[in-house]
Amino acid sequence: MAEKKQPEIRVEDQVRALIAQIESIRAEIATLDAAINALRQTVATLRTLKKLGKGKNVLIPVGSIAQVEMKIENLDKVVVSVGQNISAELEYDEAVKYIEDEIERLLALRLVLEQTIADLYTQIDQLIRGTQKQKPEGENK
Amino acid sequence: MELPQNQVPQEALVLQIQLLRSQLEQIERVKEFLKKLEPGRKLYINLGEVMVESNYLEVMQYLEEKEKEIRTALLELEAKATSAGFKV
Repeated sequence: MAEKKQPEIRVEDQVRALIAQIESIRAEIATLDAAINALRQTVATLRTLKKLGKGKNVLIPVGSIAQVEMKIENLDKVVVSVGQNISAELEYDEAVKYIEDEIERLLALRLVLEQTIADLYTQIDQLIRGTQKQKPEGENK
Repeated sequence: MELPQNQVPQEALVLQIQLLRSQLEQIERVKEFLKKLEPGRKLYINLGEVMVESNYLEVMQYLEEKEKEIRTALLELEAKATSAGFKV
């Protein structure tokens, strides 16, 4: 009895799968960008608050709709979320550095994802070129 | 088409495993960060809308319990993946 042949995956399906991967990585990059922007905004706000100094009145958000007026008392210490539901009180400079390091880490991750997309495009290109090379041979027969 | 019970699609299983592994890495990173902090720093555990003041030992215990839970879940998923015959 003849051996059962594994069905070949069509080039179009392979390309479609690679494009789906690219789209999902693009979504991840968009999430990273949002996180990076939020962190940059935090650093900017901390710097502004530091400049404003002690005694200045500011509005602090409570939930997404309300704000309450407060006076800046002490900006030498900042409580920063360090992940896994844990927050730590850091010196102002330490906090800014922590956030900036976090931005660097996310940017490095973003670069890896961009490189992955470039590699996936190369794979797509190779698949398409492979098909184009095969076509003329088939046509000559 | 609905999948039979207990049958998780391969992609979903792999994603869950990756998610748990990255959580373990993050726990490790947080633990390392806290170890480097000088003693006496105020630490807090976020409980949804509020944060409760804590200390180094409590936080480490909290993280270790979390780590244990994740490792158990990870082992279960990895066993499921192995029995389904794919590499993770």
